[in-house]
Amino acid sequence: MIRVQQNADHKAFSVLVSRHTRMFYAAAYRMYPNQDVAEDIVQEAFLKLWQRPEIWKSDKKAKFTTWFYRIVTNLAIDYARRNKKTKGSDGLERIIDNGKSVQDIMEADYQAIVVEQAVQQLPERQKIALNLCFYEGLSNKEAAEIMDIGVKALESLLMRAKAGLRDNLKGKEW
Amino acid sequence: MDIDDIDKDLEKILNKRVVPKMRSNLEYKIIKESLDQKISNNVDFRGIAIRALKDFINSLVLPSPAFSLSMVLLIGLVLGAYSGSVIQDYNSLEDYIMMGSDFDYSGDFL
Repeated sequence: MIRVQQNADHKAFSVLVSRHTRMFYAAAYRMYPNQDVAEDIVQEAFLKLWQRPEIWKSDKKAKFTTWFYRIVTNLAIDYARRNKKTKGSDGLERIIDNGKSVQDIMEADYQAIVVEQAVQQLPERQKIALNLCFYEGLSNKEAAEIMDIGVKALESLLMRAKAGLRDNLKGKEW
Repeated sequence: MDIDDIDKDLEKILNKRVVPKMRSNLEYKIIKESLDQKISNNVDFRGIAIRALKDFINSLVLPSPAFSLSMVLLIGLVLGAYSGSVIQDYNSLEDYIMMGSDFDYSGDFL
């Protein structure tokens, strides 16, 4: 990353992209479950970094990946908010919008859809906390740093996310 | 089964969530796109220069005595070489010493 920043080294940038794209695509998808949108988010984040590499402050001690999670998460939130205003869709609607027919969904893994829907119904910050800590495997400290909150606040979000999931999944046939 | 005891099975349930594969070769797309885009910001040359100067000054400060001494020696040699240009017009040290008595005489002394 330092080579990208100081020398505009395209080779180094390519290595960075090859190494991290899948990981951040998954993170973006979990925030906004639409393949095309998740790809756009990751592409936008990397191109932003390429155009303005100085936005990463290497002296702030944050790991590049931690910092980049923040960029991807913020872009996903922006996208979700913009889309909410125009469409008002929830997670499942997005999955259906994702080029899949009802028949496809019937045949797809029902459980995966139910869980996806339950997670997407969580409030935004609880969903981010859950995604970062459970799915991305980040420590509470790293997740708190990404969300710009304290560790205690993050733990509280996680607790509420768990309770919210309990409610959202209640009564679902498994 | 009814999912009432989510605490017990939470991890198992959450792991049912899947991320589909990317539709396109995203890495390739990003790299290609970045090649087409010119970096709008210039590299911070001023910052780099200041950092280099600071590094140099810091390197002269102890505990790098060997480097400090060698830099002093190098600076001394450079200055010495410049001051040597005073005698460069003379072919030898003897010529330089004799410079004072070297004058043209084209007649008798008396």
